[in-house]
Amino acid sequence: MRFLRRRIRNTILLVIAIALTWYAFRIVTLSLQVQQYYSGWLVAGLIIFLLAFYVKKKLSVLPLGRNASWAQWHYYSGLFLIAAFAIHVEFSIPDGYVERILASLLAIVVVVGIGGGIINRLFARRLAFLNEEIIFERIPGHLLALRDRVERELLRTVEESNSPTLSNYYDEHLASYFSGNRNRLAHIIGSRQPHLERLNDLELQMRYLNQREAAFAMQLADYLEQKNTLDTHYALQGALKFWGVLHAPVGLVLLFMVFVHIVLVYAFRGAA
Amino acid sequence: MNHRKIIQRPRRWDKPFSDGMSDKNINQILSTPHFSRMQESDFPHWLSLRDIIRNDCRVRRYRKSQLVLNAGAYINSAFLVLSGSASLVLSPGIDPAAWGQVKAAKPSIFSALKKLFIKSRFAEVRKIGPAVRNRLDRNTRRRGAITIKNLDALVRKAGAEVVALSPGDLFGESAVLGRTEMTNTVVSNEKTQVLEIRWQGLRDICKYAPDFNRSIESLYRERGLYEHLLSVPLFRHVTKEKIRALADVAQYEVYGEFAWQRKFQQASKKVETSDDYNSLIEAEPVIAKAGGFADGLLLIRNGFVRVSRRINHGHYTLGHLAAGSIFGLQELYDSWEGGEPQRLRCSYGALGYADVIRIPTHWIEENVFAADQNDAVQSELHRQLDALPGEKRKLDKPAAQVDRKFTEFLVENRFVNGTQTMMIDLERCIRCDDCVSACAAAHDNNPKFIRHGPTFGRYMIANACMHCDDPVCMIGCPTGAIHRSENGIVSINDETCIGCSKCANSCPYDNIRMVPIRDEEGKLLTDEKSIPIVKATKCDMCNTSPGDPACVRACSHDALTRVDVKDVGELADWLDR
Repeated sequence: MRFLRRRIRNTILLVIAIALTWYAFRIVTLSLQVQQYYSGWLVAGLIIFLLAFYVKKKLSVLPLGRNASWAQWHYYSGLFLIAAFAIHVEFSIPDGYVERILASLLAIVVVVGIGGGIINRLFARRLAFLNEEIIFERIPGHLLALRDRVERELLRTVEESNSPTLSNYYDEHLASYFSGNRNRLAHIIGSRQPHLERLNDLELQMRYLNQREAAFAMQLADYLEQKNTLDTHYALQGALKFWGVLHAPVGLVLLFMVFVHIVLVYAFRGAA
Repeated sequence: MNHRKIIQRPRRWDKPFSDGMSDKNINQILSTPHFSRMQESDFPHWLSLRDIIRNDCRVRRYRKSQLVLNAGAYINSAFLVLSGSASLVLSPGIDPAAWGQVKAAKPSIFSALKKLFIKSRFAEVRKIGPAVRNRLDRNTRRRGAITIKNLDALVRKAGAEVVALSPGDLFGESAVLGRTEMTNTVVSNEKTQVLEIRWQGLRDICKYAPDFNRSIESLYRERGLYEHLLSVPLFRHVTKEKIRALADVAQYEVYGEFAWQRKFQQASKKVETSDDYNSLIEAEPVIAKAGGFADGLLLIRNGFVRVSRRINHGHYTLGHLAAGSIFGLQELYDSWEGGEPQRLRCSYGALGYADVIRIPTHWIEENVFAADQNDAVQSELHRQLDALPGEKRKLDKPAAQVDRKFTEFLVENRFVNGTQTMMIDLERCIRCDDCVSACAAAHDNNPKFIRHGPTFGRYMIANACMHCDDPVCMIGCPTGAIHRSENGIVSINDETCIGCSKCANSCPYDNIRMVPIRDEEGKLLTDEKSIPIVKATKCDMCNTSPGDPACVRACSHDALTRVDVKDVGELADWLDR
């Protein structure tokens, strides 16, 4: 409840801030001044403030407040930046080369940022629903251990059952599956289709297996479940880790382009 | 290239408690009342009394009116007055603000900046060699003593009782043996010499000097009992004479084992089914059983108590009570008021270990319930009845804001012991490991916790030191390297840690790790047999950095907190944020 209340309060404050900003620049325009000079500085200031969050994250040993508070300011300032930019360009599509590059860079940063915010919320929740909590860096190790266990037990089954049916099936259909992380996209969109197909496929093999092999095939289904969990962790945690990789660097390029834009604007001010 | 460097394996007394214990000092100490009665021949040759004094004791000198010990502080030693005299101010004590005491200085921003720029290239690098002096001794010398000029006036104002300490008197034994905070303030009356006996030394002396052990135990029980009764809020307005009389009739009871972690570690590994779980609860020492009649009021002095109720074939944990809590009050009051004996509504069992004081029913009826008691006593009684945890109110109105199953999980795994438990909300955590990176940045590239641990629903209790109320990890430490700072933070003094792993093995939560150490060139330090030298490492709450712990500060998603699990309000606030 408190979470929702906070969101509502912050959204109302954001809407008020946008409305006041828009109104203030209307007054500037009505007083026959070029509002872009003022709104431009506002946009530049906001970009610097937004990038400051990344600097702050690197300086975690310094007592500069909690990142959670900085993140809230970052999110709402980012949304405010979209509105400030729209006011700056007067709700039109920029026409100059530099301006278009600027707008495109901003669009990338915004899309990555908002997308990141959404996947952060969704994927974190989906990870919490999984049975196990696994550290991302340890997934390759777990994977290797699982494959070793499966293949060791498979070899023993072949020896004890004197039948190669299951091992042939494993070679053809499952060996590559156990050798690395698979079906990343399916896990990201939350589909269990590939996993269910694999289980179904294994079940269809049962009629060809002798008793000893069938017993191991049942065990294999459990291993497939474990593998699926590892893949889900890998896909979701990977997306969480690497989705935002572009956000800050593109933001830096954007800041550089803003600097170029400001220099050009003031250099050619007389021509306007 | 040789990747190893051979050094001597650290031993218990490589770094004595004080650099300045001469033979003259030791002879002087051996002639003091307690020590003169000890037989040096009772001590084994490898643990001689002289060696204990030389290495585990130090002499501290105070001028007139200097603060020796402060109420509320955690200590790791007991003290013996050698010369001069001191005043031990009992509860309610004097307000530390009265002498303008400043909080421990926080590390500066420059120390944080230094950490940012100066980092080791290798993991777990240690400076080795004779350059490392005794930090314990150095810190004590550096910290200036606080002078209290108007002690008498402050004592009068607070209405506190003072016990005079003279040569041969011991103090601080209760706090150090009970692993609790000091309840008294001690101030020197004149030029005074005090012998500080580190807990490890005290333990060894007690083992080989039975008379001394008996003195300590009787002090711990008798003086400790009276002091504890004075600090009970329910008796705040009861006269001191009556409290003194109560100390004579109150019973001191111990449930469970002081080193409870061993059994818990063994038992918790076996729990797989609900039957195992029920057996685990049934194996806990029972203090009072639901359905029985309340035999006096029970006060918890140390440890934790599980409040549970049997439902059909299982035990349902309603919550827990910590030191300072009382139980049975509601039933006793109802019995007294209604004239009919009331049965206990819940069962109470020691969670590992609990020191309990039993107040006789007749005393409480005469001195607290009786209508002729003064208004202050009555109003305090009703205030206490209204605020009682874990009793009728908890059963009738589940007002506790923390989900009961979660409470059960916390009690079951003994997480209630934690005062700085790291809790992670997995629905918010994006597994970015910024918390781990920040921890590493604050500790010379060595993270002090693992973002992993037991989970309950969306919450994880990470493997980070919880700075327990009852830090059982300290029990076996042979050197006192793992100790509790005055503010309750459990820290490891790396210089005196000999890598024996006792703390890591004792921690019931697996929050202490043993790490192989390296020199500044990255060479692994080993002994002559090529066995790596290891040191214990764990979270220190960033006590060498300014501000909040780095892990909390670094989490951008408000997913991580450090919480005192006993404080249900604080926990509920965070869960419902």
